[in-house]
Amino acid sequence: MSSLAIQSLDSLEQRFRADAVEAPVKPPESMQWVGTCLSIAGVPLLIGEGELEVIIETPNVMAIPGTKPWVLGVGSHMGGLIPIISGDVFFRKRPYSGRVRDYCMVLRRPGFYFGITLSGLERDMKFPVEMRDMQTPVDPDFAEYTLGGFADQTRFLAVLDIDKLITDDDLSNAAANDPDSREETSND
Amino acid sequence: MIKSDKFSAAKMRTLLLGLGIVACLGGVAYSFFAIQKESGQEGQYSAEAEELARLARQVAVSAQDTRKGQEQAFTQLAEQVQQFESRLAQLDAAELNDEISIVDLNWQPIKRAAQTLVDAAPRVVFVQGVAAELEKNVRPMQRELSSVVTVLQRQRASSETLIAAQKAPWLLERMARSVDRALAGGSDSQLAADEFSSDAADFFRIIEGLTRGDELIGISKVTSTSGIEALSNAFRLFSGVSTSVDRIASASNDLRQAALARETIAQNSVPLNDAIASLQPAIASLAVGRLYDAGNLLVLFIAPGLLALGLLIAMMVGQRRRDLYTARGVADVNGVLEQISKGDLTVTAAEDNSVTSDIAQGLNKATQRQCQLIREIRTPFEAAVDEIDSIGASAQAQVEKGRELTRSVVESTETATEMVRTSEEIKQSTAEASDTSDRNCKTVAQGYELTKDMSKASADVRESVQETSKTAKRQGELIQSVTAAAEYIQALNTKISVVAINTRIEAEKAGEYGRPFLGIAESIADLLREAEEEGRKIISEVRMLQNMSADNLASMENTVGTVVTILEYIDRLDSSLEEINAGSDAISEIIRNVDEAAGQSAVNALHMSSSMAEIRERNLEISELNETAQKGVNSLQRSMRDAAQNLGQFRIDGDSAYQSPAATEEDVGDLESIRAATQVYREEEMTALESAEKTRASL
Repeated sequence: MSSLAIQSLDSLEQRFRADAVEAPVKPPESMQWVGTCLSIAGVPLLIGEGELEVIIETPNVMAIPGTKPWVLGVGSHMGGLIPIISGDVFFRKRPYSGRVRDYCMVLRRPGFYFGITLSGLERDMKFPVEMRDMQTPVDPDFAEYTLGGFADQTRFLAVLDIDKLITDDDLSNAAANDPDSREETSND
Repeated sequence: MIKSDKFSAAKMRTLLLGLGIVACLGGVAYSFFAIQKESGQEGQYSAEAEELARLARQVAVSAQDTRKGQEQAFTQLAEQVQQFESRLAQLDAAELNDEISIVDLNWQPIKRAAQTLVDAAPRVVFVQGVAAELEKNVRPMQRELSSVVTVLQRQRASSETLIAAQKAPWLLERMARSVDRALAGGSDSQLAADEFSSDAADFFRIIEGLTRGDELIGISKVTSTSGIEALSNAFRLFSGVSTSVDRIASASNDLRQAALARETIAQNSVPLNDAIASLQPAIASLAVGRLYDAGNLLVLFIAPGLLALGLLIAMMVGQRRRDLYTARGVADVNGVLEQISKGDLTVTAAEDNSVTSDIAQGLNKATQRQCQLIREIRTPFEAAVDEIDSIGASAQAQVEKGRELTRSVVESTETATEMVRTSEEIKQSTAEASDTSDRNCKTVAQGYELTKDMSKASADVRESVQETSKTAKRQGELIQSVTAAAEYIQALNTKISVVAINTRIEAEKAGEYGRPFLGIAESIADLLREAEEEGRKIISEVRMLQNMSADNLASMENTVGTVVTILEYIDRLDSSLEEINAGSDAISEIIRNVDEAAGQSAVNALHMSSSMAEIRERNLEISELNETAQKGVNSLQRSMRDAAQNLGQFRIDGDSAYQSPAATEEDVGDLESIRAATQVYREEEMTALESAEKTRASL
């Protein structure tokens, strides 16, 4: 009697297995990289979330004598003065005489608070983190300040690493008559 | 007299040459006899050498046969050595001394070894006999001793006794082998002999002990009758050997010497055979060598042979020279006769050949007489030929003149005919040109009307295009305005984008409280993306529209320019048509002048045709006269040609044979061709005149 009951239970289990539907598999949530797409010196770039202080219209600047060519001058912002740097001159290492840059981005780090002019401004963009490409070559002038990038349709958007930019020796010393500066050495 | 002397000298020379050849053949025959004699002695030496070789081989074989220990082999060896010595002594030729000394040098070791063998023959024969007896008796003795052992075992004899009894057969076996080794004469022959002596002593002691008992070595006496009998039989069989033990032991040195002698003979047999073999070619060259060495070969064979050959060649050369001399004279006469048969009477036959001199003299006289006769005929004939040649030249000149006149008449007739035909064609052409000129005038008038219509239409097109151009400019201004508006919208989009980005930044700074603003910023960013795409599309399409408008404007401007150019062309066409009209009037005047000139030319051509008819009548009369003169000259020249051909077959002096004038046949041909040409041209003239009649009728 007991063996018959056990056989019945086994057959019932097999039938249940045959008729059972598998539980739906929840796709793993992929982590998104969020940042702002903008252009400096004609090169489309991405700046990560939280690294930008603000984007402002380029203020009227007052030139500062004795500084390097990429320093446009100081302009007013939020009731104070901040130095405005020409992104075209700083990255391309040559004078710029093209269209006036209407916007600039303001960066704030410990010891640094300045603005860099932008050649274009698009919008905030999201990319899956695993899609980050560290192999695609970037414009040589920006290569030492970028850290990989993402493919957007037919173009490649390099991620501008603000920390690398801040630690650059050239950016940290804006004095034109400094004998240790790279430009003075190259002029010699 | 000279001929008879020459003949006797030739006979004497032939006789002497024959005697010389016979003498040389006699010398050669004597040489053969001498060589035959020498070759007989050479055959004897050769037989001796072959016998020596045979004996040397037999000595080697007999020396090896002495191993068997038979006395006969030693005897044969001694005899063969003696025969070899005697045969070698019979080879007594000074030329063979070298070869014989080599043979003797190789023979002496063999001879000494053979003597050693012969000296050792008695001992070798004895030892061989003992060895054969021992070999024969070993098995029976071993059987007897085995039976003794069996008896002793049955009697339970002591072990020493049994060992001694069992050792006896083994000692017999070793003695047999020792004798064989001593007989072989090897390096251990002395050792084998000593071993044999020792084994024989042991065997005697064992047999003695078994027979009588020996307490010293522990052998007990055999007491059984069968054992005693077996021991007795064994000792009896061994008795032959027992008496020879000392002699066998002392014979080892001789046996060893004998073995060395055999080896020496075997080693020296090969060089001895080679030395004997080298005798054969020396003997074979003995007789020839003598001849060579003494220079007899030159005297006996080569000199007589060369002399006979030289004499034979001298006889052949003399006979050949006589034949050539006679053939040369006959060929000379034949050549002269062949030249005379061809008509050449200037040749002379050579009279210096003694065989053909008479024939040559007769031939020369006959040819001289014939030359004289031909020379007498030729003088008046040449004068007649000159006269006929002058008549022929005159006839030829008349023929040439007639030919030129006929050619001129024909050409003039053809020219007149062509002139009449050309005048007709010119008249037809002027009529057609007049018609064409009238048609051109009408066409020019129509073209003038068409240019007026085209000018009016072009002016209308220009006005229409100018109106369209104004409309296109207005469109361009509107497109420019739309482009400015689109760019303004793009700038606004950028500002909105800045607001959205800053909103997101501020919302992030506000943390949890700024989350609603974050959603608003993302919504604005999404709307902005769509607005940017549409704005970009609008700007792109507006720019395309702007480009198309610019292209249309440029095209219309080109059209206006083209219309202006067409109007200029129409003006030029108008002036050109007026010039064509004036040119057509001038051409009509020229055509009328040409028509009158063609009529005058036709009249002149008719006049020329009548003149040609008169010239034709005169030419017919001249042709008849030429025909008569031609017949006479032709007949006379044919006769002269026949006579000249007959005379030309003879050559009577150094110059070439007389030739009749070759031009005679050609002249006759020319005259006949001229007559035929005259007849042909007359028919052509008639044709030309007939066509001229037709032309005149048409005019």
